[in-house]
Amino acid sequence: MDTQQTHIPKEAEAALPPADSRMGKFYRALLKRYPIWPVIQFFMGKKVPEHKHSAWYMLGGIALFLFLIQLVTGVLLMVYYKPGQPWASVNRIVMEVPFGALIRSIHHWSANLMILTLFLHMFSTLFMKAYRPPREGTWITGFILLTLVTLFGFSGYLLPWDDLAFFAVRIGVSEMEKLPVLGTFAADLARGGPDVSMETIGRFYALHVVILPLLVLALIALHLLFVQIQGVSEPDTFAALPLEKKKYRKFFSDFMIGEIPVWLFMFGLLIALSAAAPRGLAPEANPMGAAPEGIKPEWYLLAPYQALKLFPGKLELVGMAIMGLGPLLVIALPFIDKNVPTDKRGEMITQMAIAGLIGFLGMTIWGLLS
Amino acid sequence: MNYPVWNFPILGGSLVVAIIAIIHILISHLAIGGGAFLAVAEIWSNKMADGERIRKWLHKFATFFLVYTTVFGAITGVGIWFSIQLASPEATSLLIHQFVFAWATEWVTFIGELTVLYLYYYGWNSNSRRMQVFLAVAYFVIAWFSLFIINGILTFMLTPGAWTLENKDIAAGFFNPGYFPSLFIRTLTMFLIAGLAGILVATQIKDDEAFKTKIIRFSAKWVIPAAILVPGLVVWYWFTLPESTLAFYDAGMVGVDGGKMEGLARFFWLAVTSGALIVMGASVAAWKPKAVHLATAISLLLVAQVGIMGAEFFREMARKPYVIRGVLYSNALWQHNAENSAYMNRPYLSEAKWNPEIEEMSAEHGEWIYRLQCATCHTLDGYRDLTYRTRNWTPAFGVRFIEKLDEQKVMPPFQGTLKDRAALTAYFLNIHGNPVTPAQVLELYEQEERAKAAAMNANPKEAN
Amino acid sequence: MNFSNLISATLAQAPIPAADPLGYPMPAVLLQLLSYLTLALHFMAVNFTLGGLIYLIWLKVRKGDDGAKSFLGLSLPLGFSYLVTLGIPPLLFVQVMYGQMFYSSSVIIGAAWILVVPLLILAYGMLYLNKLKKDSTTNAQLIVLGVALLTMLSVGFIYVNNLTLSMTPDTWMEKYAATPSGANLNLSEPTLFARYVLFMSPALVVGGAALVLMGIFRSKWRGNNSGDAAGSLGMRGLLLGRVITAAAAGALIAVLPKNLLSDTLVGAGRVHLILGIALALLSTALLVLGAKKKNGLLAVVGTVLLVLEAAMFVVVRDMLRQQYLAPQFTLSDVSVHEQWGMFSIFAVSMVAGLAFLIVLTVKVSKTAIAKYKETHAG
Repeated sequence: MDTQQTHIPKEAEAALPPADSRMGKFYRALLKRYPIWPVIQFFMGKKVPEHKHSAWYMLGGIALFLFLIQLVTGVLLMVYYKPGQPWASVNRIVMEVPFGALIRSIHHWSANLMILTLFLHMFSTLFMKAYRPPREGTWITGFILLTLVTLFGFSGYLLPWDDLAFFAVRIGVSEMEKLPVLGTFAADLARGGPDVSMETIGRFYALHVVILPLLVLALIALHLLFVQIQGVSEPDTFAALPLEKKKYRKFFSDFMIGEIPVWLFMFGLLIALSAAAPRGLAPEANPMGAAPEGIKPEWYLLAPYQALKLFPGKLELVGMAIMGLGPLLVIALPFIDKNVPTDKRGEMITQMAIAGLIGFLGMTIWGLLS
Repeated sequence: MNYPVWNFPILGGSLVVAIIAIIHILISHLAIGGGAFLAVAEIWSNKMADGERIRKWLHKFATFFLVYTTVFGAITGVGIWFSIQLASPEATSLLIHQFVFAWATEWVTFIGELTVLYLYYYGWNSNSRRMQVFLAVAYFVIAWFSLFIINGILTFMLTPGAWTLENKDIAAGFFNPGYFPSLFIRTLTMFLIAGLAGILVATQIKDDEAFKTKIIRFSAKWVIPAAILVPGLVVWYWFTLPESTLAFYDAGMVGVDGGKMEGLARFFWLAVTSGALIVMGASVAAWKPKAVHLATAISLLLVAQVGIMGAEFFREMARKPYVIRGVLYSNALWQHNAENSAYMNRPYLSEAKWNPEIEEMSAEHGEWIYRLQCATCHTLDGYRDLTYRTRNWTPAFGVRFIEKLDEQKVMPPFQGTLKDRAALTAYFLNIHGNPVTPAQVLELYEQEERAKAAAMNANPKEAN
Repeated sequence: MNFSNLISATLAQAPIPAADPLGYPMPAVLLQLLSYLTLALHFMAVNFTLGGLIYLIWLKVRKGDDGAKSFLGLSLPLGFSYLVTLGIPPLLFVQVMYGQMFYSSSVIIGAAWILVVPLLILAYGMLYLNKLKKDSTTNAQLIVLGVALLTMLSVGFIYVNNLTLSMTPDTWMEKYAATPSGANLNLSEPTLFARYVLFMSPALVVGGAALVLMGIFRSKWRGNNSGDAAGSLGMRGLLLGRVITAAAAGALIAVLPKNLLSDTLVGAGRVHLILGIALALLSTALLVLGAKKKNGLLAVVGTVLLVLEAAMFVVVRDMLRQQYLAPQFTLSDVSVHEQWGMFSIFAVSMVAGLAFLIVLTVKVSKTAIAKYKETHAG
């Protein structure tokens, strides 16, 4: 007998399918070669509390699914996209490449839905108070992920190099320029010069297809590892229940399989949106030309953009400072609001979160209408 | 142009019709397929040892079914009728006058469906077992006949077959080439949707995994007939489509924002993909019924909803630019008038019934052409918005474009004179902040034409 | 410019669409007959549901008879579904006969007209909500029922607006030019409110008759007097409804243009009006007598007479419409292309279908009534 072979633990024998079934044979062969039973056991232990807000737990999975769609459609677009001829190659994708317009629309819609899902994921975590210790790590990695994904959207927006993209990005980067001290430097670094140009495409392209994907994948891995180690957080009302009244669902595979049709629907929805509202391609960017009317950032950047308008002239810096505090406050949340069950401070935080949500929605709607 | 045109902002009349219809079709298909589901489940429960328990669950299904189909199904059905009157009165009038007794017969099936369903549901505790089975079967048969009838009218609009305005051959129009494939596809889809609704109601079984598994597997089986047969039926349906529709599908066209994949192909693929997704989702449910919860089941029904959206948009777009193919254009222009150049070239406004005495070449001239000739399908700032579509127009381009409106075969030909075209162009240019008058547009257009003609004469080869 | 000047100024160019090229599928008189019959039944269902809803709210506010409350709670959703379904044929036939006028007016008030759809869903949904959520508080139930009542009253109001507008083509162009979206009503119509009350107030009569019937049979089948309170409420409400209807009729006569009125009320118009009034008096008498004597037969006959009465007034209503339209349109203007084959399919399926349903309903009701008596007797 080969010394490399290991024995199957007793508890594994009990949990595996019968030894004469096909899957049973497969698992036994696997475990004899690789001693991974503790790993399997570790994953099998993950469970999801069942209560009337359980549906919110699906958002992370939905976001992950949409991210996978982004990877696949992104790679397909990369096959035809040429950073040297950005507009012409995208035009070829939508005009000539079979299903090119559809794949591009799916990429566009999936990006938007992913950001929307992440916002919902963040706010549901916020209102269920799942950020409290010991889950600081999950909260912070999650928030960084949201930021990176927004950056993903911003960098991808420029790549088609049409009129809309060009002028929207130009406005966005010039906002950055107004920051004190490092503003000009950061803006020049992003643009590769004093204005958005073909140089910028190279930078945004590298960012969009290499740097951000690697960073996001790594952070997703970390984020999921934290969740795996600490388990799903239980809201106060559920945690307070006596043990026999607590109901759980195994994550592997009951919860996950139950979520598959939800992902399938998300996929159907992506195609429906792409069919009903395909992503357009405006004329090639002309840096000398006049900006088209009503250029605005994408909806997820509208709230800060609109809020900055409340601070005219010199006050803009004050606005930026206030808005810069926002993310810091979000990151600091788990260190401010720690107590379980929720105390006075915790309730205040919830009220602030509601105010923040209303403010965010209000600014976004105002931005859309103006 | 007989009727006033409903200028509903943002959505436009046609999208109002589409929204109501898409919601209605999911529910109405459930209303019929669910009848078969009730009947089969009744018979099944009679054969099972735990029949009493199955019937208890079936009562839940029936309650959901009754409320959902009568409240949303019946009213959105009437809603389609309300919306088509507003969006296309001329076409509605034609259909009503041709098929009035078909509709009246369909109404008999409505009364029958409702009454039998109420006898079944409200007699739950007093009726005999045999009576319940009989009522469920009767309900399904009657409800299916409502499909049998309305399917003739729906398919008629795309493929009127041998029917013409002159022969008024109702049998030829009703049993038109598209009738049977459509009837079968819809029938199988109904079973599928009923199965998905069964899964939905089964998620409410909280206390007994084994029973939930049994009901979900029973429900999931209802997807099988459609999964096997619909692909073949779609091929059949495809061959009944008019040649121009197929050409339109193949060639596509340059969309408003660029992109070759035209709506027809996009919505076709939406329907096909949704079908595949449902089969996958239902298989997952049948494989691990324990994992199925409310969100799972609702997602499956939502996939069906977007699939129906794809299929119905395909059906509507396949007809473009007609509302009744080859007979009546979407903007109420009759085909026989469109072929009559004297009719097409007369001054539009002075012949229009709904003209509040607008002076020709006045500032309102173009607006009224828009209202009466374009607004059936277009809005200014919403669905198929003309503000965006005309954003790059110049006076001469606009006048020329309107003349060749029907060149791509997706729009009806323009009715009116050169002056009408100039006035309409001026209207759009004014929206974009260019304060030209119709007379100025006409002048600019003629200047360009003269310059072109002069260039032609000077150097005929180069101008070509 | 006063009103009559406006009419004469625009009369010449009232934009009446041409009749449909396919013409009528059978002689107009038969279409009228079908339309009268189904419209009378539709009005009965409307009045039963609307009236029942008003009585139900009254009973909930006054904490009245539980039996009547559960009867109404159970039967209003059913009434609603029949009112919708019975509304289909008259709407179909009005489009066949008066399509040019009806479509035009519908488009002119398009935004209001399409609003009927969500309003109907809301009202119907509220009635089911009331039925299925039995354990909610009285206040919550009153809100639910109040919403249903308001939406139903609004739907009726939109209908009266559309149908009055469809009879007055002279007013179309101005309205259409001003509001292309159809966010219009026909509030300038002088007869509007009188007509509205005239069509809504019979709800108290029909709903009252239903309560009278229910009271009599409840007492009878249970062998006690548990239905008496409902019967007496129904009887009083019915009489009140008659008074309001009569007042609305008087108001309508006062505002109707005199020539239209006199041209309508000659010959057949006059006969139908007199018959309708006679039937109204007779049915009221029978229902009151039935309620007092707890005589089921009298009350049933009285209720059946209500249907006939509605049919008579429906005829008068149509004749008035023809007088309104007379300067621009008469039914005989339209060509007839008979579709007797299709008509016979409809006629046979309708007769067979109704016979089937009646037999089935009687059979199911018999077992249900037997079971009811068994559960509640003594």
